[in-house]
Amino acid sequence: MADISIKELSSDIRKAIDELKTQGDFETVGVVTRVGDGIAWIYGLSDCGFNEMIEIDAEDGTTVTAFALNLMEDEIGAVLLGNDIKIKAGTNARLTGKVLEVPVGPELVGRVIDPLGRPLDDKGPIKTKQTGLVERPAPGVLDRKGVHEPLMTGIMAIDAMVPIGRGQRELIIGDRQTGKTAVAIDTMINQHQQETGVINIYVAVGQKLSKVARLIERLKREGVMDQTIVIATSASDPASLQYLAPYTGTAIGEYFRDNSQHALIIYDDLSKHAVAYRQMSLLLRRPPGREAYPGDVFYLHSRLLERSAKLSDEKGAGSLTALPIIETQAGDISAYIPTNVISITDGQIFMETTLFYQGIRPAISVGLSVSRVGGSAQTKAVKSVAGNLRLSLAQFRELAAFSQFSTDLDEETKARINRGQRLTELLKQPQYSPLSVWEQTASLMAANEGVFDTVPVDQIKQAQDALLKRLRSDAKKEMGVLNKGDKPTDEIKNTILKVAKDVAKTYEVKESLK
Amino acid sequence: MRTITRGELANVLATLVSETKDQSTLAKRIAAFLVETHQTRELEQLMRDVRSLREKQGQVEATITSAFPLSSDAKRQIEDLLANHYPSGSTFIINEEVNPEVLSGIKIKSSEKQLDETARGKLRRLTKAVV
Repeated sequence: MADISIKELSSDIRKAIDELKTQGDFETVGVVTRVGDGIAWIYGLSDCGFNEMIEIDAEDGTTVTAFALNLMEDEIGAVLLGNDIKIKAGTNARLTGKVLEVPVGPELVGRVIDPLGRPLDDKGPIKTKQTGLVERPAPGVLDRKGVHEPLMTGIMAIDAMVPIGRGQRELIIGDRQTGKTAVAIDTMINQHQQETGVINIYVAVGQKLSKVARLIERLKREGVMDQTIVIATSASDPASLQYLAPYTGTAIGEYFRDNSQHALIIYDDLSKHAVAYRQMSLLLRRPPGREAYPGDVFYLHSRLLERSAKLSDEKGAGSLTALPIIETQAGDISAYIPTNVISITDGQIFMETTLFYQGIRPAISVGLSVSRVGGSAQTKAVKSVAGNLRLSLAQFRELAAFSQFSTDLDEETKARINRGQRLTELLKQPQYSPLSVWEQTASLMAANEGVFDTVPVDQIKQAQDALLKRLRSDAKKEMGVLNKGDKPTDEIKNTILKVAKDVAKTYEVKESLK
Repeated sequence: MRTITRGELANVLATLVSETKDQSTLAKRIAAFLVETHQTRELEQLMRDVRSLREKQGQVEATITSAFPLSSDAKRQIEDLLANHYPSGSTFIINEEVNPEVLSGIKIKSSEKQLDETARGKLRRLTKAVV
């Protein structure tokens, strides 16, 4: 049971009694004519506004909150935010005069909440000083600044080839079980390990609660939960809560954005969000469109994602970076919802099932992944070594089919295949092990300069580990400088290559002894 | 037969109710019309529409719910309260309802407005303010 201070509670009650007016006002009331499937149809309430909160009296004397989504001539369709079992036809409904707000502020950090801001983690009630509107317009053009600060994920394949900046929206898209959530988790872990000060917000939309529980456990184990807020809805929660969850997360993220801080929000996943919205819309008798989604399903996501932005210096220079996740079916990125979200975001990271089962994890398809912000959001250190990476891998993919005929190929082609195999192996990364800036720079520099060309492919990861271990112990100061992100000096470059050559020789020797 | 909307029907009924002297005959005529046009299910909403329209025309009908029967003095005060809230109202029709579940106080309900000064209503507001 949570510890509640009786003294504080008494003070709150006295304050509430004082605030109660001695005589109430006339309230606008309507009556519920029909209720079912999470929707209450209400007669009256002619002054009701769109998205306005409505309180409905339940049988047991409590009230159930709803928000008005269908305003028609004769009745209002209100989506219930609680159980519809307690409501009967004929009960009263009252306007509140407010639209939906949720508590926002630093008090939420470290907590697990539902889309209405109620705690789910048994750590006691949450008291915030402010509330934020769930639906709010996105910042205008003049309030924004171009994305120019990197947001390092710690995943070398992403930071090198598909770099993400603060304020960007980068979609993570792929089939089920391809590592989409793993990329998001590693990004959150990296914010903690690199002490970036970025607040993580993870929005679970209609996920299995066991998955959310495992994720929270992992975040606690990595020490990340202290800078993370989790908004959780399960598949058994009403569609209304699943619909609200991403907007609640964004409202919470906007607090940090508007207060000169930086936040990262992960929507896992928007496919389920669209399905929940489809369910609500069909029950509200809105006409179905393509794939039975309502006509405004694009607007559902566009107004959500536009709120993730990098603000101008005049507005505090805060940012909210979004990593929405979309699940495809059989790799079809040309389906309705995936194409909608691809056109909204500033790039996508495409996770392929075939790569995953080939052992290439993270299973990022270099050809289909892109960051529209690109180099302006990349640290100079990584940028200096990642320039040719995409091209090298593209050339390798073209030639990959010929690798089985290696004896019949010219030397240049063999060299390209050789290099491509080693780069592919180098870009593999275990889960929960994000790499820092200097680790990525050193690894890629060694590979690009051909130092690892003589290391057997299956020992590349060991060679990389050995290189990083040596640099960590022998060149700690230089790597600390490199970790700041500036382009490596010639001295640092020489240090790295010298150590890399020493390490590579070790593996050549080991191979020759076999 | 041309379909008449509920709004149009409510307008007609509001006029008929204002003009009629024979409530029973009017009720039968309305019932017959609703049965013939298969609109019996809309009776509740229709009557609310009529009440709302009559309110706009100055005939305010309110239901007063209290735990105990009201004294004539209380009824007079309630009429004054309604007159203050509906300055354009010319006629006030009060229906009384006794419901011990409200514990104490009164609740005044017109077609679209409600004033809940019952103990139950105050407890609800208090709960909301604290939580």
